[in-house]
Amino acid sequence: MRMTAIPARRARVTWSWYVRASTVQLIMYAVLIIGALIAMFPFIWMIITSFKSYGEVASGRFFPRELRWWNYIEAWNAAPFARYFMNSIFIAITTIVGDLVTGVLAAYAFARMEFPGRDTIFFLFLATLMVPGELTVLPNFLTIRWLGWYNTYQAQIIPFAASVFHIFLLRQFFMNIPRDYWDAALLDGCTHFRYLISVVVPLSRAAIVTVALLSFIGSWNAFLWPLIVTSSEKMRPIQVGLRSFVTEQATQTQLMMAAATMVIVPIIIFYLFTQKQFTQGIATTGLKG
Amino acid sequence: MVQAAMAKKRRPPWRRGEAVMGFIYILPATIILGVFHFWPMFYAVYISLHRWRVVRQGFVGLENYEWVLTSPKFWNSLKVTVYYVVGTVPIQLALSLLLAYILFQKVRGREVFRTIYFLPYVTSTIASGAVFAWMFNPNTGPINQFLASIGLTPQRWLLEPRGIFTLMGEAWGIPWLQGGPSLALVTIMIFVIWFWVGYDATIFLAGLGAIPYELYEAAQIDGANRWQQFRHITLPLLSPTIFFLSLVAMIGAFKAFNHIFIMTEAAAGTVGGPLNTTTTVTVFFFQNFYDTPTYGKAAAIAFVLFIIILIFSLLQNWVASKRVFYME
Amino acid sequence: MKRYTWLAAGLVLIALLIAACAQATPTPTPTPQPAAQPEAPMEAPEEEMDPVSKLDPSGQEVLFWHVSTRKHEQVLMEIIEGFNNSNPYGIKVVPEYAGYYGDIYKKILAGIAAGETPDLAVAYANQVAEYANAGVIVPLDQFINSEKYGFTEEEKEDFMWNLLEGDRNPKFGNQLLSFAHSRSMQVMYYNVDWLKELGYDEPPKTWEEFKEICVKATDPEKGTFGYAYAGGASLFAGFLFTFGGDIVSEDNTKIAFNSEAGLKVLQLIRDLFDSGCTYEVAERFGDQTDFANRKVLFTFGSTAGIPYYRSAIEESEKGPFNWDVAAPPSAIGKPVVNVYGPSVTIFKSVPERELASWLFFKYWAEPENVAKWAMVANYFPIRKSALELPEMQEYLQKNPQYKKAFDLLPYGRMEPSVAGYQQIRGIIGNMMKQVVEGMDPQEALAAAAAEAQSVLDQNQ
Repeated sequence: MRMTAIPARRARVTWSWYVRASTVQLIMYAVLIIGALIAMFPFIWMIITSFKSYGEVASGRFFPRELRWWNYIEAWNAAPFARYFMNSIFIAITTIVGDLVTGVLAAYAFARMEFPGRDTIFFLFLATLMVPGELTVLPNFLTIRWLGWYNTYQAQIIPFAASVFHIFLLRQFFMNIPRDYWDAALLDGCTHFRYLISVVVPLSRAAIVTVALLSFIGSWNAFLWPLIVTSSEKMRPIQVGLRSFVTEQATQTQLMMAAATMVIVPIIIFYLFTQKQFTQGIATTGLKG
Repeated sequence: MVQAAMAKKRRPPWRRGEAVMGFIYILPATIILGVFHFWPMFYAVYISLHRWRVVRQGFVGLENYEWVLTSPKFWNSLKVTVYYVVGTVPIQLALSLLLAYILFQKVRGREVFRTIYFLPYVTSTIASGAVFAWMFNPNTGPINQFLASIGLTPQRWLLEPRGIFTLMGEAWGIPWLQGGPSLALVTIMIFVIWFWVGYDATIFLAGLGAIPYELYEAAQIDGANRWQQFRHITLPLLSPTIFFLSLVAMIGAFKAFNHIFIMTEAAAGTVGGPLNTTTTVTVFFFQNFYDTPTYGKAAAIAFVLFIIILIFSLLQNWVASKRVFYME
Repeated sequence: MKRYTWLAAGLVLIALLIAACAQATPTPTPTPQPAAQPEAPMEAPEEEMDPVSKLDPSGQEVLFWHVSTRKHEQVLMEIIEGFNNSNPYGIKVVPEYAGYYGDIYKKILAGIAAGETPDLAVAYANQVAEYANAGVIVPLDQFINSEKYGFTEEEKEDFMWNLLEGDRNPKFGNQLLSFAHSRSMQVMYYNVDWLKELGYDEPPKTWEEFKEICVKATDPEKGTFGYAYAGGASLFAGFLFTFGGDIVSEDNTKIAFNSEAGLKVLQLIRDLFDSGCTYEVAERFGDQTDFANRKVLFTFGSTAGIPYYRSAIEESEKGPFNWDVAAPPSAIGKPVVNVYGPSVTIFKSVPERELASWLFFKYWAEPENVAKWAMVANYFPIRKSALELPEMQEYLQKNPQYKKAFDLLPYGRMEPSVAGYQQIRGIIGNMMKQVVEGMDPQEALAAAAAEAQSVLDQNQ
């Protein structure tokens, strides 16, 4: 269907074409495989290290003598990980929902609606991307206290329930939806909201899934802000647990890697899960639907 | 902006009902962004006009800005930042587009590859930073062992404060070849490119998926070859994604901090080392925000950086307005 | 496009104007506490009975932000529970984990600006100096000297006050602004077997001897070195002390490391590199790894690392060997060790609560507790009598290197507790790197001292 479909349309498949196509294929796979090895290496190292003993880490041995799977039990028991996981999942899911609702609405307005000051407001939104996040910590902390949200979930959710970056991303995709669709919908007496829900959102599934995934990763990896706005273990997310593996003198690398592996598994699961949606989204975003 | 301009020609600027709806649609996002992004920005401007060491100590006007602009350390950090941006953004985009393009062909195991390429983005930087420090260890690391095995000179990587051009000049005996980013900074750039390529490729893939393949079919019927299709269909239709990713990569590069912190603290013992050759503007900001909590100065650094990023973004936007093509 | 350029310019201008106006009018923004800058030393009046003894801390609840996790946290919880259950005033200490050292510091900085500080927190002494400048720290001397709640003369004798030297701050009348229950120190690790092979029974006492042995241990063929150099301000301070130098002047206002002693340290580093017997370590604890793998004869590091060195050596590919720790070589005829470690500090609230916090410190400072607390981190208790406890004796038996380091405690010195020291540490690290790269030591020293002095000047 796509570019590789070209030869099928040709009348004859010649030998020289076959050789050339194979060479191209070979190079393509070589590039992909080398890239994959480089990308995977630190990840593999992390998993291998998580099964080592401290001495094996220190002596620079690459493979452990035995698989110390109990490193994972030790890591799990070292902090209230079960609670941390539940908190992080709750915070991540609510953040994604909030982020998508605010993001889709705003992106649609910026992409398809006409109102005074639209481009100016959008530009102001973008400007906030350019300020170091650390600078906002102090005033935002004052705001959270003023709102009485210290040590709550909403302090960890609401500030991230809208993202300029994600609005930007969605807007880029929405703008690529042919305008004819809207003109047609308008003739049918369709409102903006119905058009958004029944046409734009389904067509932009790929973008929405991408945003959900990025939002999830952002929320899942948050560390400093949750630490500042919470005081009790009951409210804290997973990264705080991961951080508790940095001991003063020697980093217990093997335990830290066990904990790090545990912590990134949900992201990978989420990614694998959305991957299907992703592919499907791309496949069904054709104009035939 | 292109289509905004076109829309203006087509019909009256805006209808009342739609204008009201437009504001309602952006309201939820605006409230949150206003409270948690705009207000802090204004507050930070306020801080930047004060002598402020942990707590407010007195109004000083633009003194902090003067300090920033006359500080040699700031200009050095700006130089480092420019090296960093120029050295990472184009390479990162080109590599990820290449990978995404290959993946978008009928490739066996596409999903597996895509998942693998995304791994750096989800792996904790604590782990991957440690791995890179280990790989580039001058004494025991595999990279130097590899270089030695193929007859090249082992390098000091994260410990090397001299510029790569100086190193090349020495190696090849070209005396006028001098300066450039330090090898330590280059090592960090390699990490950054590694980290972002899979992420960019994922977004590129989504962008490629949004291109209707009828266009390719039509081009094939017209007899366009693969390169022509790429040049005249893929690139123009992907231009919003390219613009988007280059803007994000550039802003990200200007704000880069975490991995520089992790990699240089582990290797050189000082964040931003060796000899400040990896002290980007953001690292400089952090030194003044936390090492010595002079918030007024730190906020002034942040706003000077803000204005620089703004100028770059406007430049990029200007280029994009001539080149980016939105499907209508 | 033009529109955007104007917009950008306008945006910046408006922001500046708003901020400037905000200053002119009585500030509607949340105003942080005014910066109290006590110029005069805060001293308790000596005549009347001390005011602290008149206070009643009954029923106070104090919030304690700490950095401990895992087994450290367990021991800390035991101590806290012990206090909560046994104190006659019904004081309750509520512990909260507040992240690692860097994190708790950020949390406290945000807290000071928002007026939300804990009652007690773990901090390094230079961070305490920063908090004290913001006017939120309670000096501890009034409690220590309180007739009713303080230490007896006998108890005071029992403390090794040189281990708390860094908690005293000249800017605040040389009062104790924080307190530590245990400390660690920088020692020289060495491979006993290897040293014997080279013909030495004792570790080097002077830097000349150190260099000589390093050169002998170096063999490019086998890839072995005398010393694994891991630069940094603590190493510099440790070396500087052995030449009789200081980082800053007595009153913490002048940089003092640009002295004869400072120059000698840098020349020593230069010489070691020139002779090829040392190399730079490129990872955290990379020297520990190399030591365990017999690549290097000497390393310098914290005594808290002893257990990690032990397990690395026991599990080493090259097989275990005999090793030990010693004081760094010295140029002044007696050993000097750089002592370091975090402290605990009390934040201003109401006098009763401050006193309640102190009473917890005092309980924590009891010999059994300091011993317990020291052992979990392989630190050293700051009380001599803790050594006599049976559990401590047993621990010493099992840890011969620890025992050896214990005897060096009287020779301990500390780095200064001055605000901005973190930045000065960066400057010192940079200076050392310059020398390693071949810059003239004198030149590097002068430049670094000038830069560090400008950091100190900001404190005035």
